[in-house]
Amino acid sequence: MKKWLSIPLLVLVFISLLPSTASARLPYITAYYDSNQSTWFRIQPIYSPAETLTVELGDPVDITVAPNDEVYVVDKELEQVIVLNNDGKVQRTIGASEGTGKLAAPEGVFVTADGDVYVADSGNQRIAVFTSDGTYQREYKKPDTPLLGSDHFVPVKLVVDRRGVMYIQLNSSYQGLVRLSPDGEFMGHFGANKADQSMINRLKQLVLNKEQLAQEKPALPKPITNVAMDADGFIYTATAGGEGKGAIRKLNAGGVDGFKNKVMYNGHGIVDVAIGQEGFLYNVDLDSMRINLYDHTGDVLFAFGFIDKETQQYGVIGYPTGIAVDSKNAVWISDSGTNMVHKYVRTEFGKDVLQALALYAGGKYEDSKPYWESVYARNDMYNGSFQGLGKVYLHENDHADALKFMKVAFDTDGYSKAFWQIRLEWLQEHFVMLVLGIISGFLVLHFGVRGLRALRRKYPTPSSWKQPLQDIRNFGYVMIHPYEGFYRIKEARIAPWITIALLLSVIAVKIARIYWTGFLFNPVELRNVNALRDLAFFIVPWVTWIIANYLVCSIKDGEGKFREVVQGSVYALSPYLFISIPVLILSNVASLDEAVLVHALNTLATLWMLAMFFVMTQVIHNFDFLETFKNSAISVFAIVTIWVFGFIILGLSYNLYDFFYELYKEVNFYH
Amino acid sequence: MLVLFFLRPWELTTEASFAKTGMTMPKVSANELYEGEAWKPSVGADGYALVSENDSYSLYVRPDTTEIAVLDKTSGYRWTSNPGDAELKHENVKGQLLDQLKSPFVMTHVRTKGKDQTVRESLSNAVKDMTTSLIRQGDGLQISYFFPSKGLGFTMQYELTKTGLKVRVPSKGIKEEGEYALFTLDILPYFGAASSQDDGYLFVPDGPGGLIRYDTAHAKLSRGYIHQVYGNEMTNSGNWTRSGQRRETIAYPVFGLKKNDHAFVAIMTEGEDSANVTALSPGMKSSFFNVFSSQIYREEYLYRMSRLAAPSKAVQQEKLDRDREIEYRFLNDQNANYSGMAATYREYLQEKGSLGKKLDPVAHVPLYLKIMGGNYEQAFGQIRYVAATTFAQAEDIVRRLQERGVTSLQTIYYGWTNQGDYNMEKRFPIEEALGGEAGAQSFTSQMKERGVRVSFYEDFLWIDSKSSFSPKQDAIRGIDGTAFVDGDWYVAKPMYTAVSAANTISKLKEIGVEGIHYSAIGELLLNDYESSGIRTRDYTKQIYTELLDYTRKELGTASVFRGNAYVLGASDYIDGLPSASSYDFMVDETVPFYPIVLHGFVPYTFEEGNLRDDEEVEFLKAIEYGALPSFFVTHDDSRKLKNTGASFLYSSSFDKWEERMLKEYGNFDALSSLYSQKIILHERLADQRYATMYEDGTRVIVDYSAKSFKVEKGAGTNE
Repeated sequence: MKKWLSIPLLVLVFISLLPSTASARLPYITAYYDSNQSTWFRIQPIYSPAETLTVELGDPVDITVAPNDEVYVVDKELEQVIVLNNDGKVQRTIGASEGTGKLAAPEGVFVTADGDVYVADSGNQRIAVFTSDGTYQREYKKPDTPLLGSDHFVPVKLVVDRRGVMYIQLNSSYQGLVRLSPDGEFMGHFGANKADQSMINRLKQLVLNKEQLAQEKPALPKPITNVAMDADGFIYTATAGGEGKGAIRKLNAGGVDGFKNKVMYNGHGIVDVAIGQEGFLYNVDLDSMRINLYDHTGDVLFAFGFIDKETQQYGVIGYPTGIAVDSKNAVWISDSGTNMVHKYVRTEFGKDVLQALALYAGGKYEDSKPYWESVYARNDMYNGSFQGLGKVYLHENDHADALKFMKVAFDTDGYSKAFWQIRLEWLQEHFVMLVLGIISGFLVLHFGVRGLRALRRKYPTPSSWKQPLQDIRNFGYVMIHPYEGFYRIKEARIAPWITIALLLSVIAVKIARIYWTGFLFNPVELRNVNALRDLAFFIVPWVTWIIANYLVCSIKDGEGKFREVVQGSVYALSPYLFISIPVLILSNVASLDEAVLVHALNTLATLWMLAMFFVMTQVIHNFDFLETFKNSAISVFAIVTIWVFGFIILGLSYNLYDFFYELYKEVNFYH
Repeated sequence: MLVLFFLRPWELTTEASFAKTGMTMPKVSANELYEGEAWKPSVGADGYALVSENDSYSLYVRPDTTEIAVLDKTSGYRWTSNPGDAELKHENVKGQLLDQLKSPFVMTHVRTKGKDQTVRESLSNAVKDMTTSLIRQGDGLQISYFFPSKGLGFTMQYELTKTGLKVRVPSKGIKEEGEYALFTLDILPYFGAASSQDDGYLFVPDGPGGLIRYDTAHAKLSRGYIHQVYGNEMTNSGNWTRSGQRRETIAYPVFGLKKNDHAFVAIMTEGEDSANVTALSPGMKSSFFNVFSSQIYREEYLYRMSRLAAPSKAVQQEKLDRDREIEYRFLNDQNANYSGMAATYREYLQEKGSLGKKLDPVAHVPLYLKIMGGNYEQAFGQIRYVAATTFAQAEDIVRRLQERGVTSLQTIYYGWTNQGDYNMEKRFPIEEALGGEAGAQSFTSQMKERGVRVSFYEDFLWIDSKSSFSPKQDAIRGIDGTAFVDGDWYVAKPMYTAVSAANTISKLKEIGVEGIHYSAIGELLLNDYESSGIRTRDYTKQIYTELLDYTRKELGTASVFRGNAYVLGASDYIDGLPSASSYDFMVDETVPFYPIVLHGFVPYTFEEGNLRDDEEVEFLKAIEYGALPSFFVTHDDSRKLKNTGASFLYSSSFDKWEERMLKEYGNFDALSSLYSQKIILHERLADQRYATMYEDGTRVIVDYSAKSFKVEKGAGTNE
């Protein structure tokens, strides 16, 4: 069935292996981001390229949509602003006629709610203001302030707030946006990016002296690439080059970033950001070569479109320069690669899924239900609809369905809520039975133990059993009385089968924990769990500990024999075994509200184990406290050393293997 | 012993197994050059000399430039290979481009010695030292060109036919005697070229068919429509683009041009698979609209000396030794449009016997029901088959559909092979999770009782590296001479494909399967760059058609996914036919050219009803273009398949789709009287409104803005 795999002839960054469907294919793949599995999955298109637009432009460098849905495109080469109607037909141009309003290599445009057109007239080093019909109004030159220094005033992008205050990005300025009052007065800088504090820089600050530091290049903040504003007056800045960190920032009037400088997926090569009326963010990104759609918190949802400088197809952008969204949620992109404007419109599926997501984000779960159902009808595989419908069911008090859907979506919060309700109902129904059950359980245990003891008195176990039984019982005893316990182990010669049996039961418990820990505390797809790997992560450190401990301590005059170290190390695992059992039970009956119990028990087990290993070292090798501490530390160091060597050897031998394998393939397959 | 193990004398070679199946070996045929006295034409006042004529056409040649002209006697319209002086008055290109505009060919070549062996240079009839020799034979004219300074030469043959003009470049006429090698040859690049003042369009084979209108400007955006028939050579990484060529590959070797009341349709009849269809608009190379075929003889490719080194460019050594032939057929007045072009192409296919018989009328249209059995996933650290529809469940689905009124059904069962797509070569025993061989047997016999034909889907081209398969022996070799591998996947040599398909067929026959639904062979065509000599796409084509014929003979039916023109005569059904264009900057309008050719002869479906991007629009498109209904279903929720190779089934649970299927089937079935009819005219009535007319005069009018369609019954009767 390679049919669906026959397309990925190129490195489609994140979807190279995903199949492509049959006919009616768009020139690009649409994908959604599954945050639970941290991967992209294919989905049917949410946006498709609109009917062909054939506007002849010189060099479109910025685009914006006016409140009346007219599209304003800045053409740097033709030196004008071109106004298109919503079908992409040219209506009029602004700033082309000779006179005071003539533009020179403009680079940015903004249209206010009243329809005033502000143009970043870069060549004339000013902001030029026009009415919507193109009549020149006024200009703003460089404000008279020492804070802007002697640099040229080259505005490239701008937004204007309700009061008429302009926020202007100057050409490659790292100081943030320049704020100008409606009178043209300088009101300070706004929203500068944070300077990048890399590890190297911090290290340098630690190590270098003052003179050396002065010679270092200062870590300057990245210049803002583009700026946009939403209906509520929040200002969004786009910043490229930070691996997505702070790629989109949502600034309030005080310049505080609502996204807290968070890392945006597919934001490293961000060109521009736009905000739709439903609160979705749209970015066009040169790095992922995609148009990306984010929810109002900045989490990426979808990626569509494609960037290819060789493009010959609508929907594939040559070199994007700006993005805008109109009131019908169509996405507009200015493309200086092909010198045209791209328009993408929502598909029927896109309308449903984004409507559902918007209502969901607004907390209108009931209203979102029909949309989710429609999405679910056409796509079983999109996790969003499971989460959405799960939430709907939760609100409808349909806890059983909510539980099912939340589990599919790996939404532990939602699952926990549904689970809490179901547990409550179950308890209400079965309370009496439960209490009776517990009581009878206790009685059985109590009398059972008594009975057993009586039986043993009557039929005493053969004396050959005595020692082994003692050894097994010691596994529990050592937990409470580690010193005493380890002395007993040291003195006793424990049969190897007992040690092995104990070790196996610990491993059994480990496996049980991998597969039977409650969903809330282990929200993974069980079939994707690699049990062997998990076990290896458990066993390999333990084995290296034994080796390291034995080696180190025999050098350091420890008394312990190898057998004793192995025995001791097995017995030291006892807290893990005994505490895991209640953890397993609890994790299956607790909701997230009681999660602290489980976590506390887990922490307890870990600490207890560490203490056990410590005591074991002390007792087996007959060290004093300080010696034990020292030697344990050395053991840990030895463990790390063993691992490092192991990795190096593994790596080298893999390279060698790879070399021979490639050679074999080359000779055998290709020639 | 060891030698025995390696040579395995007890195993038949692929060639021997192929011979055993009874399929015939591909043949290589080549046209002869004309021989005889040089022809001394007597030139008329306009510089042209009459070559030959028949009832409908006369052929003229200008001996000084070798330009040609064809007079259409019925309309009096004269087609010329190049624009005349009057038309060139306003031309603003100069130099080489102007020379090419006046030449009946453009030959591109490369050096074979010294530096810069990938630099391309062009020759036209304006080259000073060019010599030509003309020979007339029967109705035909042969012109041999030679360029002494380059040591290059080739021959063109023109022949008049009852319907138009044949142009041929025989491989025997190609001379490469110097340090230069032929790269590409544009044949009649400006034949019938139109200007933007003319009314009409260029027709290009993009998706179902694409028009390039004279009233639209394309130059700023586009570099022209230049694409290889049946897709480019995938094994050449130099052909890969960043966007991965997500576009419709050319499925039929046809292009056309409409100029006012006259039109031609050009059918590439030989060597079409190694040619580009090139359509240009004013501002690209001239101020004309022109469309032609550019014949590929060599390709530039990227090769790597080692895994670490950066790839370098090279030009392939051995040329693609194939005759090239194009047939121009001329149309006038009400036939001078894309419907007429399609009808002409259909007639051509019928003449050649490569379209098959006309379909018989049916009382009800068939519903093509694809059923996904399942596929494998990696889970719990191992390979696990995920069953989505067992044979018993599939039976149940068919039963339910029949009970609810779907009387005509064809089923295609997917994913039946052992462990699904894991280890492609291990197909048997049939996957146990679906019911195994016994389950399959009872399924097919049940279906036979119900009158439902069962085909099994399988891919015999792509082979994963888990298979016991020798890439060195049996994988297609790429343009760099090494076995082509994409990730972990090889493409089997055509003969290997045929043999493994034949083996599979013999087993499926016992089980009662009545057809194979082939993936890939109807859409993927490659040269095999064997070190002993290139096996061309023509060789591959012949084996694939042989295989389809064999399948029909053994099982009853053969069908394909997509459907390049070479499978038309041997396929009972084409699945996943493209219904939309590639969104190319050049193409202004999408038209149902290919559906017009096929309708009434080969049934076809578009994207399955449950997997459409836009349900309503694509449904209407299927109605407009005369497609049949198809659905791709599973018994279980398709979510099960999320981690398998079948994850493209976004939603396929039969329970979810049952009602929609019945409704849609009803809509299609209302058109059952059209099933066996030809489409005779397709036209745009208004924006968003289209009409498709059938033989008996029935018109189907689709309105995309109202999201509805209506049928106007025709007066005529079905023939």
